[in-house]
Amino acid sequence: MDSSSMSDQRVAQQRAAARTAVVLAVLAVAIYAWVFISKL
Amino acid sequence: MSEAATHHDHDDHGYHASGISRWLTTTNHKDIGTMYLVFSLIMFFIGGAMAMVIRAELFQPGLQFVDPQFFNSMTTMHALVMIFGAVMPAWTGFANWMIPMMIGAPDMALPRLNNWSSWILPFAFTLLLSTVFMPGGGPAGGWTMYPPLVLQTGAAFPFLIFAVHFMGASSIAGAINIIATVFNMRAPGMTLMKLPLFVWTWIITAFLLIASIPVLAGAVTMLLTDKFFGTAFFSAAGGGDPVMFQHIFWFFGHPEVYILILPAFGIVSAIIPTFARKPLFGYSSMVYATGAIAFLSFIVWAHHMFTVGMPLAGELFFMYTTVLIAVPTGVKVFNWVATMWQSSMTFETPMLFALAFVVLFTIGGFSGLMLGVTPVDFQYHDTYFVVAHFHYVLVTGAIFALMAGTYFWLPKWTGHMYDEGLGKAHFWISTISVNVLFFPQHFLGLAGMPRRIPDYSVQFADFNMVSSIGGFVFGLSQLLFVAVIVKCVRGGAKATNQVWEGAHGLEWTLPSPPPYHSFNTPPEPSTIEGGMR
Repeated sequence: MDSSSMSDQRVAQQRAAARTAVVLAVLAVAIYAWVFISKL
Repeated sequence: MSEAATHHDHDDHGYHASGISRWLTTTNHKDIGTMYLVFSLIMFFIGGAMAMVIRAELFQPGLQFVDPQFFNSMTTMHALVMIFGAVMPAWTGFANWMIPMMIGAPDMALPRLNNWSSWILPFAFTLLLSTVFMPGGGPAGGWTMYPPLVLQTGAAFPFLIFAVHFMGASSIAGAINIIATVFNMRAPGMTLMKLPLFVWTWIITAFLLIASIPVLAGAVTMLLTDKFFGTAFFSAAGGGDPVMFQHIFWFFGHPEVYILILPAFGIVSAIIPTFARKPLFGYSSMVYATGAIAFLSFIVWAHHMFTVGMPLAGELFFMYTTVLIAVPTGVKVFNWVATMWQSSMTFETPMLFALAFVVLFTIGGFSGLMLGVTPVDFQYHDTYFVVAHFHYVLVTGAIFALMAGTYFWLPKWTGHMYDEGLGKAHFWISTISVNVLFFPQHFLGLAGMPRRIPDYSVQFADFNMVSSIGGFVFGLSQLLFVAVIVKCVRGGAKATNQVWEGAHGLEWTLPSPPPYHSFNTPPEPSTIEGGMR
């Protein structure tokens, strides 16, 4: 694998990881909000 | 050793500072793993010192050394420090060190988030531990923070709540990072069913964290608003329900138990095949059993509160789901024993701790089954039997697995072999004393001694004295653990790449110690084995 395709692959991995992290963070905040709001 | 594994890419995290700046600003998974582990060890000794205060006070009936308020704050803080400060950060430290190397990734997916989540913890525990010096003392209502009792906490209350929020934020950030790393950064050829079991158990733990920690955060936020902002979530006088807090808390609390123990299953599943020199028996059943335990952990919470007054159907439901957990757990214990069956075992320190884990964790599992049976629990609830049960699960379970993992990977981390004689001395003294410490507590509980009390009736005196002697020996023997680690870091026989004859996996293809940046170029797919661990 040459270095440019390696670097492209790394960038793609980083972007996918960032998307995963955002989805999981939204899920965590939604659970927190649901616990609080459902008891109001 | 391939060129791929040692290649240093100076464009990507190539620079690292020295001195304190290195540790403050690092985004390297190995550095951050070390920080987590050192923090965890410090918290282990702070929480252990609190346990010594508890056992000193309980050495004899009557009030000896501390007043009841301080005693109660010691039991509360001991639990919070050990759970959130010692065990959870230690698992995250292991994950940081090992997961990128196990999956052939250069680092964690989100290195800056990683730095942030590790550095939150010292602030969180400074907040929490500072409360001991405040007017009214530290929180003393138990780590479960039940209202209305916890709302009587003095100046320490907001510090407790914010500390729990910070710990939660750190755990969630760590969990997100681990899932993002394993799902996106695996080397080509490293399919999910080829992952080492430590990685599998950590992915499942991370999902448990993301689903359960926000529930705890919601519950403690409600406590905060009840105390300071006039809400009545848990106040019966205002139309709220204090029992609701218990339901919400234990909806977090039971998955939390598995957050503490699942990575231990992963470590033991790595160590036993290594020293038995056989592939792990039933790899895929181990993965599915871990998933089943995680699922069941969300539908058993009310077994912690059988005595609160629930409809019979509720008690039956939670009893059946609780005892059902014995099935996937039994699968695991069976697989570990089957792995050892007719194998060529040797008994180095990591294997000794792993074997002790299998035997002693199973004792904790059996007493858990007893507590899961509703009518029996009515007798055992809030007695020392419960204390004995969860200490078998968490000390001879989680802590012993942490020690097994430390001895297993210490040569990889430091490049030196540890002192096997000292390691074995640490194992034997710890294993004997921990049983002297906790086994008599079963008898105390069955005889009716309540938990969380600084004084007790004289008929409990003998077993308490035995338990305290075991506690002091166990506490002091942990100094041997530190001695082994310090000696190993400072020098010793050179460790080979593979370290252990029966070790398999990508991390063992790297030098010991591994280079600051590893797997900048992914390993060859042909080097990836599957199903061994």
